[in-house]
Amino acid sequence: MSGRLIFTAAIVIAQLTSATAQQQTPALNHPVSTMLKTRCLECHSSEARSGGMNLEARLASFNPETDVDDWAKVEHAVVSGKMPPPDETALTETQRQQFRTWFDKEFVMPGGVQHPGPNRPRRLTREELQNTLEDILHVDLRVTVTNSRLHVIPETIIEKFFSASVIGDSGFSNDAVTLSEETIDIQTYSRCFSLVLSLLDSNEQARQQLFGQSSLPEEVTVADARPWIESFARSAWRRPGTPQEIAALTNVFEQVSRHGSAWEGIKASMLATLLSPSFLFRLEDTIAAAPESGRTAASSVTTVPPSELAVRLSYFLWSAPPDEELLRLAEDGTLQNDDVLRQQVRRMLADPKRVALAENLGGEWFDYKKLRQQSALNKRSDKMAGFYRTQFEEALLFFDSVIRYRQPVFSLVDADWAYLNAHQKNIYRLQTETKSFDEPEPLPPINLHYRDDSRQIHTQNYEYQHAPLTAVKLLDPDRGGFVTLGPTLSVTSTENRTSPIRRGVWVLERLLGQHLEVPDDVPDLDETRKKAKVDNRKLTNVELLKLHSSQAGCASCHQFIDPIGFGLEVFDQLGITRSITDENPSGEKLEWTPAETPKSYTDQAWTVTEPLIPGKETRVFFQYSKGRHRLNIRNVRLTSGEHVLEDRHFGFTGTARRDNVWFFPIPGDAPATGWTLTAEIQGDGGTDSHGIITIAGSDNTHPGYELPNGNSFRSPEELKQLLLSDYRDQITDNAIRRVLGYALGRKTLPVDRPAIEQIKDSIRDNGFRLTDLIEAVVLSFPFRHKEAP
Amino acid sequence: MTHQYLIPRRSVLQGVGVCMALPALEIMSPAISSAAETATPIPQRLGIFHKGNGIDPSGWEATGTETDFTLSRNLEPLQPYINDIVVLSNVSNQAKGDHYGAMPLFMTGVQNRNPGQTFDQVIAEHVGRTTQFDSFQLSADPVDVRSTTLNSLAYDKEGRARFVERNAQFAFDRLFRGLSNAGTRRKMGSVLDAVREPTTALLKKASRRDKAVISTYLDSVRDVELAIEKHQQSDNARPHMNLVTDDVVQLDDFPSKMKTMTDLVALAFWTDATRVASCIMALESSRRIHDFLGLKADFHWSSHFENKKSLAEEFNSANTWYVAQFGNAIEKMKSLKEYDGSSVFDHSVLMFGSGLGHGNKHLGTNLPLVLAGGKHSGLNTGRLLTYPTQPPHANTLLTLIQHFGVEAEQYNNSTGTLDRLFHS
Repeated sequence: MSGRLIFTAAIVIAQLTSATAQQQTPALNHPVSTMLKTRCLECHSSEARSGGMNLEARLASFNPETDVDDWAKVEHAVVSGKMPPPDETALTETQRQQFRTWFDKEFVMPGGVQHPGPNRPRRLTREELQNTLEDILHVDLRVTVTNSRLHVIPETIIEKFFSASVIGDSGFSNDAVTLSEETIDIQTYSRCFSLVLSLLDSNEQARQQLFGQSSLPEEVTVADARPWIESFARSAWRRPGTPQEIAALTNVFEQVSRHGSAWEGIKASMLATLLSPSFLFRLEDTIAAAPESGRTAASSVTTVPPSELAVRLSYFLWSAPPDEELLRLAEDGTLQNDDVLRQQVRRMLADPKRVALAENLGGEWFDYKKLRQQSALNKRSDKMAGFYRTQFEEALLFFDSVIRYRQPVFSLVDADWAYLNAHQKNIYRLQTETKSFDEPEPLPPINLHYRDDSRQIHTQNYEYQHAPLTAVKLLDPDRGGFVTLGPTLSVTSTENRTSPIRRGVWVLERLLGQHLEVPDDVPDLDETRKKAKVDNRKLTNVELLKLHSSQAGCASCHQFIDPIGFGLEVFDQLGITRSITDENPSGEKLEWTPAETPKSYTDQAWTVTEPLIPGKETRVFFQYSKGRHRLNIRNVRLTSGEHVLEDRHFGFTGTARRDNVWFFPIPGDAPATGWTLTAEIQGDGGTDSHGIITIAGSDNTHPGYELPNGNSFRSPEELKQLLLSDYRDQITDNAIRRVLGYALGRKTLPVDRPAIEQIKDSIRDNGFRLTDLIEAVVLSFPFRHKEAP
Repeated sequence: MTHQYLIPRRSVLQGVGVCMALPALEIMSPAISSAAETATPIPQRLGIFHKGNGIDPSGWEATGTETDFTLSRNLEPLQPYINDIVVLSNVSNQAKGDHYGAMPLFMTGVQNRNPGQTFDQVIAEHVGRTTQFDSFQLSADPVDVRSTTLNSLAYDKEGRARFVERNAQFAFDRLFRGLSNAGTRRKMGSVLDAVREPTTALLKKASRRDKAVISTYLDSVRDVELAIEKHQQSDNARPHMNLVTDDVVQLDDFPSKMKTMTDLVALAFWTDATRVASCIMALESSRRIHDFLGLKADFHWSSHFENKKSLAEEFNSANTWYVAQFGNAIEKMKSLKEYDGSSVFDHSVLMFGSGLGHGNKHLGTNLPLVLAGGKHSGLNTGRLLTYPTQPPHANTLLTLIQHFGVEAEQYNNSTGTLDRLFHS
């Protein structure tokens, strides 16, 4: 039995190795080659390979297909002016233009026509697998979620069998390359599917839908079974089975039912259907496309037939197979019509199955998917497990709200709303108002954790109720958008510390779309310390990092990472605002010893005697020196003459360690003296509260965090504003690349540039709304075309 | 089939009949060994235990001379086995280390993020032909989605990561149930028949790119078919199979899971399911918080202890615990008896360590490496072997490769073999 197979497989492998072996391609014969040779090979020869780039080899054997990544790097360096390095003579504008023209011809529009890029077969991710099995078997694989605040979402059957997939170059786990590199284990699939199929034993409704009858007769003939087998193969393979395939499946039924029951036979044939590559992979028909040589021939590009388009569309928006309506539109061919496609995207986004976008596209783009796993793995305390679960839901609902209320992609960076409940608000110490969206026709809400309306979160009288998260308007401008959303601050930290570096990297990669690589020749922190020791200097960690970052190899990344990361240090590892960063701030101390703390918010005022410095920032700290009662403080003001400075940030003090801080940028034209500090304070009527208020002047004020473009920010709010003003194009580009990469299951390539420009143009008028972006990706050239590899 | 390791099935069953009520495997095994009569060569096994994040040299380095040495704080749990271990010092010369390249360094001697065939697979090709699994891979830690090289020790000839079992129950079933059942095999056989034929047809018309993917899939189908065939041929002749119960699987917490995983390696050897096994105890860059030890910092953070004493303290506590788990594996193998009264451990070479040396500095030099093996392992045990010339780690691996009978003169960047490691 297996002997024959081994033989076949061996031939295949032999063919493969010969086909995929690095073929020696001819040297690049173009004036650009001479230019690159004279200007670049000093550092990028086969020996020197500065920065890991061996340009000499790329030129000696020019292969635009396999070396596209290297060439894209070269192009970026040349066009951006990064190379040659600053201490060398720059390329002339003519040289640069010549290179760009050549690059466009070779890589962007080979043969002068638009190309859809490579299209590899994609194995179903574990999320797609789960959704697909639910849809074709009519069973619930998602576990029951309860409204207990301590409830951890347990792993589903599928999650128990399959680990999370490694994230590919596209930034998503549905990347065809990484999926094909992962080991396929038939035994794991087989055991998992057998278990899932056994759910049918006790599910009459599912059997009714599959076989048109809720219980099967004991005697089932082959003729009886064949239609069931055919129709199941049709739904599992997303295409009708060939007579040969159906015969093979029927054979399984015959053999197994001979030894057992007919039902066992049916299940075995279903198992065989599910173990087929036609189920496990999304295989598209490549025969229609022209033969191998056609890399530059326009004729090798074909439109994706409607049946395949339906599959692409449904796995993009739902991570699930097409439904009846899509199949119908595919069958009559109308799905290829632009208007029908648009209308289908809108219909599908209105369906609760769009939760898949928030789970997978959003979850991996902004990395909050990890929180669900962190919740399930957290054995330290129920409280923390529940907290991470809530943060996962916060992020999921926020991402979905950008779709639901048709908001621009920029609201992913900064927004004035979040999804919270009273419990979570208290943890973050946030003040909120009711949020209302302008969108006249919002989409229906998603059903958190489930893909349909019928399943509900299991409600019971739990001691710790998990109140549903609702949209609230945030009053603190530092908050809002993924940058400062609790879940983000949490995933970039470990449980007991923050990591400024990871936060900086997160912003760079996830929002600006920069791909960071650890260079080979970077001196590590330890060497930096040794060097500092030689200079007889004792450094704090921050200073050390600064010194390390200022070295040439490190600076190019760290000049970006560090300011952002340290600027976000005002949030702790759970996303809670830190009270102060200094232990004992210096500055003018004001005493506060009230006879009785007021029970309603009442203005309290102090005279500031020491001068404040115009043009600099002043910070005000409220600290308890005695007393254990909670004190709410809001609406803190500094006034001098006509100048009224407000920080409406809400805070409270509880124990001696709970401090709070308010920020006041003193205008340049304001006086230095004559200031009064006023704050609305509310307590519980106790008389044992004593406080110290510190007015921290310029000594303590932070100079601000400077981004590489020279602009600096002092607060997370200013950071978000800077990102949105100075890096707006990068943010849009990244959003387009992410969504397109997710839809295509591959990283974007130079050939995608025309499509990216087209998408950008088409969504600009309505202010780059995420829903428009999704629609534009569906209508885009690479999504609707393919070519022979 | 010359190396086939057989115990007359009847005598095994007799043994079981007597001892059926006893719960612990350790108690059962001596009864069996006396019942068995036929002497067939007992195979040599290779077990690899890896923990990520490197070590703190001040807590790791053993001191003393080659034969008279004192174990360090980290190695203290191996004190009971001091005559069964070899501590290697100053092996590996890769100046730079990083987490992504550490597992490949540990397994190939080279820090390559696209590793080639790992040394265990070279050995498995040679010694694993007759066993149910040519090699078996386990991991006590879940996947880190950032990169494959953080999650896989073993890579095949084509550079593909071998399948790693992370679920203890599934691993148990795969080793001792599943295809061991004739009914399951028959059903699986017919199911795979139905899959194979149409797939081959599919392959004919597929493009080059699709072919590559489908052939990987067919490889996996072939693996199962080979497994079925092996099962049929050996006719359940694997030793001690009837003695293995799934009491071994405990899933409550991390220490229990770790115990299960190391036990499974021992049982897989004992039942001759495989002769080459690897177990990831902690991933590279693992961020686990060992709260069961009362530790607060996550593992990776504490590995960068810099000059903070409390962090170094936590890091060393965690590392000591992992060494103790390796000790558990030794203990378990010592408790499992072969039919001639020797133990599984007597016929095993075990390797414990990390692909990073100094955890804080990310060094690829002086890897923490301990080898262990019993009296038939050939290991020159009870030694602290220091190599002043700092040979590449590939030399260690080549030595092991040769020890398992593979004719090889070179493995990756090896410059020779390690002297004194085995009795010559």
